Amino acid sequence: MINSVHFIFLIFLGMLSLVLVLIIVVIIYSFYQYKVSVRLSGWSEIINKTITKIIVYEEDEVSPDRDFIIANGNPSFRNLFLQKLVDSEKKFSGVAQNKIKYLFEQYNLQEDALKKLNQKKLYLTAGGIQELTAMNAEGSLPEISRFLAHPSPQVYQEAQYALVNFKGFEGLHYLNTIPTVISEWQQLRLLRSINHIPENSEGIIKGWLESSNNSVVIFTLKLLRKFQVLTVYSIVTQLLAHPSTEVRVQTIQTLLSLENPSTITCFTNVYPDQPIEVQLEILKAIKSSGDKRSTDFLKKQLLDNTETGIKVCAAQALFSLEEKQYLAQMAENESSSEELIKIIKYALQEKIC
Amino acid sequence: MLEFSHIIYEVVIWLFLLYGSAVAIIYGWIGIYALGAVSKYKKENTFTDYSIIAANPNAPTFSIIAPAYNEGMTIVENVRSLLSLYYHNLEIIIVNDGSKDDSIQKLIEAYDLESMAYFIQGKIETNKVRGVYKSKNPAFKKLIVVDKENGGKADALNVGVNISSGEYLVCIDVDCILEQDAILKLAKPFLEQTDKKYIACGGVIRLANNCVIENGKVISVNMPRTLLGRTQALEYIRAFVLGRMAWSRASGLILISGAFGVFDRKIVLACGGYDKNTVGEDMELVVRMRKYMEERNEPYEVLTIPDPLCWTEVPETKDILKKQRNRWMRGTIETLWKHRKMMFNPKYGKLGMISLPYWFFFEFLGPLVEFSGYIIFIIFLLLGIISWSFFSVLFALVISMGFLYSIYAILVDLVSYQVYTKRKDFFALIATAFSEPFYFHPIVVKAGVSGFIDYFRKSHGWGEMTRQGFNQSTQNLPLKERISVILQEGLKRFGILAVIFFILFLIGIGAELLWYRYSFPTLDTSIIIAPLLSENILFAFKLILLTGIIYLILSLVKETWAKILTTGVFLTVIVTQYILFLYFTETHNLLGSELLYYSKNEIKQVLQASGMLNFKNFALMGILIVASLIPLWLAGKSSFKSIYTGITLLGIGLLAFFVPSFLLDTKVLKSANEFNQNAAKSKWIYFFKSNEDSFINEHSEISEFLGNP
Repeated sequence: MINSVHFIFLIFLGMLSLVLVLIIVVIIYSFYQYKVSVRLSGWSEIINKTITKIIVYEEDEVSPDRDFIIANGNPSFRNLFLQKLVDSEKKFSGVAQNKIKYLFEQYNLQEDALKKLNQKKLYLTAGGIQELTAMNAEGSLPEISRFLAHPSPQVYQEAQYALVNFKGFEGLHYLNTIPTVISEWQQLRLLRSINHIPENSEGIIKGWLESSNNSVVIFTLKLLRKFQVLTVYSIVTQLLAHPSTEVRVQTIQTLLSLENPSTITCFTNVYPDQPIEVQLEILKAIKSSGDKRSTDFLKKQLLDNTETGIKVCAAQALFSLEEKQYLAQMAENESSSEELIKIIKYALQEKIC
Repeated sequence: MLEFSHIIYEVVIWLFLLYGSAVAIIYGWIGIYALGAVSKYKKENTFTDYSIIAANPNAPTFSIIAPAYNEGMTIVENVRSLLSLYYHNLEIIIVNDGSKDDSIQKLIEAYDLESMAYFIQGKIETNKVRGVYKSKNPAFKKLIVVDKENGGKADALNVGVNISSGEYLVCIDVDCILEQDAILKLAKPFLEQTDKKYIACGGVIRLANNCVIENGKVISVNMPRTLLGRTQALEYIRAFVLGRMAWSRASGLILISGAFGVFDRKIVLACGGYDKNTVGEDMELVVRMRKYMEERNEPYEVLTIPDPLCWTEVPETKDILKKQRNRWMRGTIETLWKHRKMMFNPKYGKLGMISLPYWFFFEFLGPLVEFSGYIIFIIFLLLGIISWSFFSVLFALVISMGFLYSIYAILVDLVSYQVYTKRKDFFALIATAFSEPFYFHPIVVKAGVSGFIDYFRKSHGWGEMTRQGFNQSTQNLPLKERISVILQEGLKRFGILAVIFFILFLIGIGAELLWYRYSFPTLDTSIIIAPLLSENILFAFKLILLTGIIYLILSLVKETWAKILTTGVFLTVIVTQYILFLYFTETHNLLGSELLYYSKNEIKQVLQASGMLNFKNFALMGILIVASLIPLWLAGKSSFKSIYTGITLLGIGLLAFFVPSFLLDTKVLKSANEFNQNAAKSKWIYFFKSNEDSFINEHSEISEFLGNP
């Protein structure tokens, strides 16, 4: 017993010394990190000053100040500079944006960004791609395209975005075959960077709409909404029978934005067989369209449908289609259920004194 | 026997060592794992352009739900801060939970609200809604104020859930200050989800104490002034930056703070909303949501993001802090008990096999194990079996590991989202890490243990939680009435203490009888039962009277002293009772005042010679002390409802003084031998009397005073 106690005692002593060493290491490292963060904020000041000067004054009027030149030798500083340029690029537009790009070129930051592409650490690669994209360094596009097939989503998403940014619609061709889900976030970014759809793209679009990857279908539907591609209307209508509810919901929204006289009738026709989320979307669409022919349909939904969500939507739609009188009448009607009256009053946005 | 007690000793120590090692390993894992998670998040979000979603009409709608109760002083400002959040598709629902102050009027005035017809689509059962208000001013069109009958925080949140129309719910405390881009940062993970559904998300909560806040925004960040506040700043860094991030990365997170959490609305409705019957409604909801997804076998995640998004005030006084931690412990117990079926159930995957067991063994049992550790330490200290070198190394190891973990947390915070940028704050944090094990931590452990006890008291209805307004209410009465009230309260409290003492004393007498039976087979116990019992009972009552009087007098001064003294006296008497009859058994003599005449060494020699100093006896003594102390201590915490028990006991005690001793001598006993006669005597009375006599004899002044020659 004595031996085991002694043994444990020694172990604990060992652990204690290890912990004390670690404590010292952590404290020293913390102080070092603190110094680094102080230095970084100092550099930030210098960079901010430089950027402001460049934006406010003309290019040739500005000469970089001494601190800047001294710091510029340090790769960490250049990195920070690049980061800040990318940040500022988002905030400005027009002439100011050009000036920022000027800075990028003048200080040859393209080299720093390209160096990142070949780093092992994924976030550096992705960061490099982002920087090159933000600074519109078109020359690096072939380099970036290598990363489209990269295993890490962080990297290939950046590459996808870069491609679309530089090439516009043509950059989307990978959608033909992509197996992975495109997140909503990525979709928003891609949508934002596409500025027009070229002529005769219906074939490609049709292919996307028939993709087995639901996120590709949904993205395409959003694309059609943004660019009002009316020619594919009939193909889109077929998607009302798509297995995924989400696709159907997006279809309704797209069809609404591509609206033609037969759209609302089409909606009311498919309505009975649809799941409830799609039905609600249809009602919202009718409300937005302001098509007065559907008032009877809406009234039927308000009175006969058992789902309260549907009733509320129908009442709100009727309200925006200027059926206030009808609604008020139904509210006064003694045979109306209490729930119905409440729903109607809510839709009428009645004020309670 | 020796080996037996020794085995117990070893087992106890090993159990504690094992538990400690498990804690150390788990926290080591958390430290390393969290660093990876925090760096990963930071790297993925350096260049994120949140403006994509800020003004985008297709971005998901968030409904902020903030229950408010009696927040009239600050509610207008809080709402203003919420209205300035930078996000387009936002709905702000303030639920006024039947406030007794003028909260609702202030809101109506400040935001130009009018009552509107409402229809509640959500189907969670709640208390009645009295009205829904919206603003006439289009600048405040995001605001909805709901007025309802009081029902508690969970009920108010449920009303918010019912009324909300967004895809995601942000449930916050109304006095929390959110960062301007908080919703943007929260929306991103939800928009990025691909194959796993994100059902809940939390952020890091920081302390707003002592920060400069203007127009609902934190302008300047400072550390809290008090040590308590600073330690909590450190604690929150450890808990959120390390703990939650690690568990989130490991898909084992079961707690999203009630002060700030985002939930998927459909799933909250499908689960039935918050549970009104628990004080830990935030944790309970997350556990239930996870259970729901596990049962449906759908891939999901509960995550935390390390961005500091929310600022809240933490308690800076001991009382409020203790109440808070007490409540947290009770919430933990309630949730764990409610979902006990999932514990170690493989059907529930990580939730049942890892998360819930972790919470049970380390978050719930943690304070209890630590507290029992203190007690066992004291027992061993009294028994003199502590190996000081071993102990000091172990103690140093534990303290330094805690310190290491704290400063590691500070470091991780420094490299990620550095909130405290001032140099002096950085040093202050490190200094606080030093003081924590000695000041803050014991407070929290004690509050946890009392939370544990309160949970059982509330559910079994033991005792009475009085005293809530007692001290304040007596301040204002005139002296006579105050004394009367204090005396009455004292009688009620003393009553229960005395009853418990009496029961324990009776048990002691029973033990004495049984021991005589066991040790002296030839002794005819039937002849000694009656006199033993009656003498001792008389003694007990006399003692009760005397102690009662002292208690009442002391309680006029300070109640806690009275309680402590009385408990101490009762405990000593009970334990000594055992010592006395054991002494009699060993030596066949009654212990009297001889004790005073022996020196310590001699006593030790005698004891050693008799073989009484062994582990077994010490352990038994320890157990006896604890077993007697616990009922007394619990009794001290409560009191009877009426004063009659106390008065009756004191009355009997008074009578006891007048019962002449000869009444007790039975004929049968008179004829018995000396040994039996001695056995029948109350050992305590003999001890007491002989010591009393020798004391008086020593101090001749007193004997003169008493009229003795």
